[in-house]
Amino acid sequence: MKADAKIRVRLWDAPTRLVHWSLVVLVGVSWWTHEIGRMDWHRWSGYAVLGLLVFRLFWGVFGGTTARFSSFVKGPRAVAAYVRTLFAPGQAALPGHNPLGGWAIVAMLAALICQVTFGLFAVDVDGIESGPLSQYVSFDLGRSFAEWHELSFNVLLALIALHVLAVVFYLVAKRENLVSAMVTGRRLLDSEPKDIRFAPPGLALLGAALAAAVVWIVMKGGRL
Amino acid sequence: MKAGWVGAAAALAVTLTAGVALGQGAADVIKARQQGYKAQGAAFKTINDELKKKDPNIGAIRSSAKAIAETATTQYRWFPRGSGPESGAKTAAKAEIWTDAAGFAAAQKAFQAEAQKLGQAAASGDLKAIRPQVGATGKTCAGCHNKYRVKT
Repeated sequence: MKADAKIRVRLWDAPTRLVHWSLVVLVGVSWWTHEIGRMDWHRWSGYAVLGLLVFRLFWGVFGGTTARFSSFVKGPRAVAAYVRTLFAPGQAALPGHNPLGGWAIVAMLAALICQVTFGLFAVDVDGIESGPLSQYVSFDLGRSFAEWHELSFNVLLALIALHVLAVVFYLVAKRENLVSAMVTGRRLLDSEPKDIRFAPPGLALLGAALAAAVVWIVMKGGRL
Repeated sequence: MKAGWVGAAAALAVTLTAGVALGQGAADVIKARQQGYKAQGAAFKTINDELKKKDPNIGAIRSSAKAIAETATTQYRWFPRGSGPESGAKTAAKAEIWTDAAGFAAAQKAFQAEAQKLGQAAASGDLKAIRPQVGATGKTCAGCHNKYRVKT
C-alpha cells in the first residue's frame, strides 16, 4: 500500500490558518452587511479585514516558511513547469503553495487590499455613509472610490471562485484534500519536507500589535 | 358619472402629452435632477466631514445645511412624468415614483421636514442638536432611495 508510506506533515501554522478562515467569514459578513444596509457593521468588518491583511503581509515577510512570499512567489518559468505537470498523474504533492497557487494567493491578497483601500475612501450616493478616510477626498472622488469598491469586489469574487475550483480540482482529480490541510495545518506527504521552519508565537503577537495599530489609526480617520 | 369619465380621459390625455412633450427634454430633466442630488450628497458629506473633526467648522455646516433645506423644497419639481425609466435615458429613478405617487410624495415630505429641522439646528450652531438631526435627515434620504431608486 502506497498510501501507508505517506506521512502527516505540519505545513500551516495557526496564524496563517486563522487569517485564512477569518477572511472567509469576513468576506461573507462584509457582503451581507452591505446587502442589508448595516454600514456600521460593514465598517467593523472592513476594519477586521484590514487588520488581517496587515498581519498577513507582516507574516508573509517574517512568518514561517510556508507563509513567506519568498518561499511561494515563483517566476514564470517555475509556474510554466508546474502547469505542465498539473494534469500528469502520480505527481508528488508539494509542501505549501505550489508555483501556480502562490500567484492565486498574491492575486487574492492584492484584490483584498484594493477592496479595503477603496472602501476607506468610499462615499455613498447621498453622502451619509462613508469610509473612515473619506474626508480626505471630494464627494465625486469618494463616489468613484465606491464604484471601484464594487468593481474590485467582483474581481475578488472571480478570484475566490477560481480558488475554490482549484481546491475542488485537487480533491477530485488529484485526491488531495487541501481543505482539511488548511483546517488542521497538516497534510499527507510522501516524505518529510526539508527546510520548513515556523516562526515563534511572540512574532505573531508583534504582527497582531502592528495590525491593531494600523486599524486604530485608520479608525481615527488617519490622525495619530 | 359622465363628468367623471371625461375628467379621467382628460387626466390621461394630459399625462400622455406630458410624457410625449417631455420626450427629448427628459434627458435634460434627469441630468439636472442628478446634479441636484449630487450637490445634496456633497453638502451632506461636508457636514459629516466637519462632524468628524475635533473642532468642526460651524459656518461650513450651516451653509451646507441651508443648501440641503432649500433643495428639499425644490426637489418636488424634479420628477415630472416622463422622466422615469420609460424615457429611455439612463436614470436610477424607479417607475414606482409615479405609480405610487402618494407614497413618493410622503417620502419627499418627510425629507423636507427633517431637512428644515437640520437647517434650524445648524443655524443655532449647537453641535448637540446638529448631530442627531444629521442622522434623522439621512434616514429620510434612505427612505426614498430604498424604495424609489434603483440600487446601484
